[in-house]
This record gives sequence, C-alpha cells and structure tokens, in this order.
Amino acid sequence: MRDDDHDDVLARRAADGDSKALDALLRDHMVLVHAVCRRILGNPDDALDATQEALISIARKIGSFDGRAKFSTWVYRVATNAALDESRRRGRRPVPLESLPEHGRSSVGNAADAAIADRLDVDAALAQLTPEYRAAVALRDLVGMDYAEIADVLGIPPGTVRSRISRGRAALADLLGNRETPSEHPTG
Amino acid sequence: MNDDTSPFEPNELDELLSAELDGELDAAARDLGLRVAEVSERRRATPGAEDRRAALAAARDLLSAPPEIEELLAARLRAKAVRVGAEENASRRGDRSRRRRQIVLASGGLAAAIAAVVGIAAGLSAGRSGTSADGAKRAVAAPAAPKPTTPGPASALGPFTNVHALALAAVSGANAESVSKPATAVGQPTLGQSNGGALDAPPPAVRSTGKGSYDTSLGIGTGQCTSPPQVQRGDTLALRTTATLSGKPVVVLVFTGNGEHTVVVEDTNCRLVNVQMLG
Repeated sequence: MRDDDHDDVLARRAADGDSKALDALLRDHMVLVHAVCRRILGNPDDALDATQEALISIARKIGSFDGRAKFSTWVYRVATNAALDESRRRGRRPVPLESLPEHGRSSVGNAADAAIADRLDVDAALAQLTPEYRAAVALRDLVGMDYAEIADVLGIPPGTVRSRISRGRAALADLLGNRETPSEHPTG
Repeated sequence: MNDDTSPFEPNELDELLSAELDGELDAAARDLGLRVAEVSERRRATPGAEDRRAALAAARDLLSAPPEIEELLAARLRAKAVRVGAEENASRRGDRSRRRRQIVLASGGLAAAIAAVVGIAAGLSAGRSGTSADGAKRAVAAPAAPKPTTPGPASALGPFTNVHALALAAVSGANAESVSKPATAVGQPTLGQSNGGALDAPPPAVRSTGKGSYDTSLGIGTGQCTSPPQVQRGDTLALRTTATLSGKPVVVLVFTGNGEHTVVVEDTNCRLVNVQMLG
C-alpha cells in the first residue's frame, strides 16, 4: 500500500487546484489503477479505456475525497467502478474454458516453476470468472487490500470476498496443473 | 456426511487454503462452522492438500504482478486526466464566484424593492395628509434619489438590479410628474429618441445575466425607438427618465392610459429590455 499521509497531503493540494500534486498522485497510483482495470476486464484495449475513465474520475472528484477512508482505497474503488462500468458497457462475456491456451491446461508438476508460470496467461485464467469475481482477486492480490476493505469497495460481505478470491486463485492454480479435474467455477 | 477427520471438498479446501494465505483462516473456519483444530485435522486427511496450497500460493504470486503499461501511454492518459481536472477546478471556481455575485445582486434587488415599497408608502401617506405633489415627489425621492436629466421632465431613478422595483419607482416618479407638469400625449408607433438623453450611469463593469439584464452584444445605433405592442395607441407618455439596471444604463418610459401604467425599459440603443404593466 502507498504512503497514505503523503497521499492525503497531495490530495488536499490537488483538490485546491494544484495540477502538479494531482499529476504526482496519478503517477503514484497509475500502474495499479491500470492493473486493476486490466485484471477486471481481461482485455488490454478495454483496460486502457477504463484506466482513462478512472483517472479522469479521480481528477474530477478529488475535491470530494474527505479523508475518512485511505486515499488508496478511494482510488481503487474509483478504478474498480470504472472497470466494472466499462465491462457492462461492452457486454463482453467471459472467455469459455475451451478457448484457454493449451499450454495453460497442461500438467505442470511444479507449481513454482517460474519459467512455465511466466508463460501462463493470467487474463485467460481469470476469464473463467465474472468481472465481479475478478475485481475481488485484483483488489486483494494486486492492491493488497484486506477482506474488509474489499467488502466495502464491492459492497459485499467479507465471506463472499473470501470465496471470490479463492475462486480466482483456484482458476489459475488449475492452469498450473495442480488438480487433474478443474472444479466448477461461476461463469455468469 | 463429514466427521471430524473427513477430507474437504475441493472448493471448501480452496477457500480455506486461500484464506490461510491471507491470514484469514480463523474467519473462514468460523464461517464454515469449523474450529481451526478441526480444519487442521481434515486438511491432513485431504489428499494433495499441501500441493494445492502451493499451487494457490503460486497463483497468488502471479496475480500480484501488475501488467505492464508503456510509460508514454501512461503519461498521455495522466496528462488528459490532469487537464480535465484543471478545467473542472476552474469551472468550480467560476461557479463559486458566480454564486457569490448572484447573492450580492439578489440582495441589492431586494433592498431596491424594499426601498421602492417604502417610497410608495411614504408617497401615499403624504398624499393623504397634505399637498399631493410634494408627497409624490418625496415618494420618488425615497427609493432612488432622482436627478435632473434631459430631455425628459423627470430625474434619473438611480441603480436597480430588479426590473420590477425599477418599474415601481418609475410609476411613482410618473405620478409625481403628473401633478407637477402636464403629460405629453404620444402616438404609435414611435416613442422618440430615447438615447438622446445624457445618461449619467457609468458603463457597465460587470455583465449580468438572467432577469433584469439585457444583451450587451446588440449594436449601437440611434434613431426612433419603436414602441412595444403593450403600449396602446393614445397612451400618454407620463415620464421619461434614466436609471441603471444591473449596472447598465437604461432609459425608462412610463405611459399611462385607462388607469394603467406601462413601463418600458430600453437600453441606450432603443433595444427593449423589459415592459411592465402596472395598475
């Protein structure tokens, strides 16, 4: 997570019209904002559109950030909403399991084999899940939010967060070949 | 049926192992109606549980690596957002400033309206008690401190931000004039050259919008002003004077007829700003 005090100072300056402070804030969070959008959408072009929307929303609404939540939580809430909105706009359905790359479904043996893991298509693995499931995974594993924060951002109970994260990791773990027969996953 | 040492179902195991990786095992076990000791027992009884844990941990590590974005592209996205933010900020400041100005103008308008009402009341009161001409003149003087002006027989009414208040003051002024000097009858369609007078108000410093304002983009010209259709043929011009409306100089003409007053407010180019019909 980011230095929240530093973020708060920059956020106040940005809200007062300091463009440099706003640019610094966006620079600090840009990589993860894009990563969250990419993980939720699974498509590079859609992810860029959502990232742009998220950054613009942050720039527009920076004055409404009241400091009650961590700035990073606020930022990734905005990014998540932008990505989910983009997903709804595009109406893209998740990629069916059959379309996953063959190498991803081969038995790997050693899950920690970095060379093979690098070849895995994380987007394809997560495509088995709905964007809402992917959002929970992204907020946990990319951003490092705890379950309670994710529950707050997504408006779901912590137990549901835990379940969604587990499904996301399991989808990827299945691609790593730890399990012979993949478990059932939601594809709604 | 599960007993204390039965293996976990695959999804159950995934959820517990994933929660354990995040330090959330206690909550997960509790939600599943299990004790942590029971989870450990059953985990040991589940074939491949440790391999599965390693696979989930590897998946987590993969998922924690952010996808790359080109720095140039990132800079472009950022720059656009900063530009939008700056525009939004400027717009917000503008809105705040406009709101402040509107409050000031509204307060001024209210004060002018109150002054006009007080003036009329004073005029009526004076009219009842003594010489009506003097009383009516006092009524005009109260709200707007009239000054002599040419070519009309009346005085400048002073500054207003509310056109209705201006009209009331003008009618008061017309009543005062009617007792001191006979009115001049005019016919349609012309009102005369309303910009011939020496307007004493300064050029507008602030362009106002909304009620009581007029379009300053209109061209400057001279010539005969056409009366608006509200002025009936045969109405009498009772007063012609000047005033300032929302900071802009205007010419005010009061016509009387059939016991009614028609107050015509024009800009200095004979452009109609407002017409008020008052009883």
